[in-house]
Amino acid sequence: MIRQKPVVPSGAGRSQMAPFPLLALLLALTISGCSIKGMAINSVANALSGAGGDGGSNVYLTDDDPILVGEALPFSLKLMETILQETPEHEELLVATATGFVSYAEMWVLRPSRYLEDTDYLASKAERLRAKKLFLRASGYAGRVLELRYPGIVERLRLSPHEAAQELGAEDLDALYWYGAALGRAISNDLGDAELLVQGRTIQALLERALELDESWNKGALHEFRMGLPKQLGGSPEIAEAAYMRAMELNEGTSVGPMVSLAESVFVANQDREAFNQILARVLEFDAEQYPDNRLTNTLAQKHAEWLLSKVDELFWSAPGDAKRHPQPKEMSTSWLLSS
Amino acid sequence: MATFLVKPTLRGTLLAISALCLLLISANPASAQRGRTVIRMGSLAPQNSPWHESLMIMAERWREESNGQVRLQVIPNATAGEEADVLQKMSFGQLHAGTFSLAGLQNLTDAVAVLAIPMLAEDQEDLHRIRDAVGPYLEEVFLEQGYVLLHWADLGWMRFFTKDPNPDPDVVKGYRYVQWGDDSMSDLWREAGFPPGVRMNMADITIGLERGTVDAINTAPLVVAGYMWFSALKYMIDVRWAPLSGATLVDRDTWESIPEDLRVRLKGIAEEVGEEVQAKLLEWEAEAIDAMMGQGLEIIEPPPDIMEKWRVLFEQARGMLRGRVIPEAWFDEAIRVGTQGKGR
Repeated sequence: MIRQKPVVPSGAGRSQMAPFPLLALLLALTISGCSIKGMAINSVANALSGAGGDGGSNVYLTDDDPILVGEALPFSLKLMETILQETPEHEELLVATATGFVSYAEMWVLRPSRYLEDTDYLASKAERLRAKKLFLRASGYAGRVLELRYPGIVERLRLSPHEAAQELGAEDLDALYWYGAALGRAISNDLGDAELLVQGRTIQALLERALELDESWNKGALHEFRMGLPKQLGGSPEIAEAAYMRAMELNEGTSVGPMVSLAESVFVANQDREAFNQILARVLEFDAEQYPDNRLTNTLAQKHAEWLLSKVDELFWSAPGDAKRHPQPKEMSTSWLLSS
Repeated sequence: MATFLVKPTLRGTLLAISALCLLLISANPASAQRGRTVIRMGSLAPQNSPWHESLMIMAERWREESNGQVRLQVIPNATAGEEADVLQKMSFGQLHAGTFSLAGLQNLTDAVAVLAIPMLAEDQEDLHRIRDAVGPYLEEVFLEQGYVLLHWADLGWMRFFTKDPNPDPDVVKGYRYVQWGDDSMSDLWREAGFPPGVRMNMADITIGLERGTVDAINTAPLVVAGYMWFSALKYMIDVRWAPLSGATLVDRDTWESIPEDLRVRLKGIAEEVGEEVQAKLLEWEAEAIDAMMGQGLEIIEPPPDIMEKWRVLFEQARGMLRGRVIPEAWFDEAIRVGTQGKGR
């Protein structure tokens, strides 16, 4: 197995170029001479992917204006794709591009499409299918990283997922996660696509392997992923609750995303209106300024919580006695959940 | 007229529960909010599946047709419970409508088996002819129990999915199968030589297959693809022995709270949506089979002599259905229209 990473010329690192990626790109496109062009492109690639230092994506994640980020992301993503045309094997940039496409599709295409469902289902469906295409594009970029490292792995993951997943190691977790997340979201947003649907067990195999390799990876991201597993892939409200507890433990209460997921996936399924209201109230009380690195994701989670609360009468239809009992936030052992 | 066909046990239970619940909650509490009728529908269909999408399109068309006065709220993913749970919740007004497979409809009457007489219908046209002939009888039974039929649904053609490629019925009969819901025909399966089925929730079947609690499934390919059971069951014995039908029902009281002229228009929309799904079914089924083949599923087409053994087996099973599960007149009518012009 040969792994190749693009050569990053010394003295042309990401930190120097990060503020001026457009200028570097312009140079790359206009200055003749392969070596200069190559250097410039790699610099931009590193800047965009955050390789070699503090992540370039922080400028997005620390933002408190989701609209601004949503409008800026398409330009960044197209820029990344432009650079990838010149450096198609830049692994960090491939992962960063996959991450960007999944985030954009999830938060700025799919989520607004849900808000449309009640008033214009066909428009909502069209946006959902657009999100599916973006997820597939993301899986292509993350899959390319896996292919560079293990030629033929994507096909093996499709045909014999559990065996193929064993080939992957801890150093592959980034690409593994974003490949699985992107493919999983593409499948779940169009269950009429039989070719995709039957690849569900690939998602299951990747998640199981990732948990084996490092269940604490990326502050509980794997457990958050596990919360959303459908029952066809072994998901259940019980598993989602256990995954939630672990995700919150690992992120040390710095992210409220899992709380919104718990409300939406478990408390609605079990018709536990009281727990739903309580946990979303906590989400809204949460001070997103407290953890700048998660400012954007927490702000988005709070906006979604507001929308869910506006639909509470529709989401909860059973008689109070039917609800399955859940531990209320005050009964949960993790004090950070309630920090107020 | 068709009261004798109503399942006494479930009906009795539902009535008792309804009576109790009336003391606790008002019937159909959501059905008349601010002058609007809200119809909550429990559905087994997964969100973003073609069936779910068709119900959502129906909801949108109903909203437009009624100028927002009738709101259909679809609760997918069996979140509202399995089929028997949905019927129970409809009986005390928490839900007002539901989608059901043949197994679910058996909770109301065993006679729905008339839509799945073994090896009678050979294609969609046969099925629709049979349904046109005997469907109105079933509608009447549903109505007597307080349910209005909105449309029939097709889920595909049932086959045997096994771990072994041998298509001989003497072998295929020997597996431990999943028993679907409250399958009142399980006695008949046993009499036909099949071992007792194993009852389990849909979500538990994958584990059941891994652990060997069950080792074969008898259902439509779309269901197998959706639940990814093909990873444990590598062979599809291509004996299309019966269609898997379903129906969408609405609570009669809720339905009749809608002005009659509007009801007629909404029913027309429901039927159109049902027909659109039926028209696409074979295409979906073929795509699902192709996709599963791409993942290693093998299709086993029995040779003529083995196919003949299947025919004999199912001919015997038919005899057990007539008069015992399906009223004789309905059964004979189904056979008459099902074999029409085929010289069978």
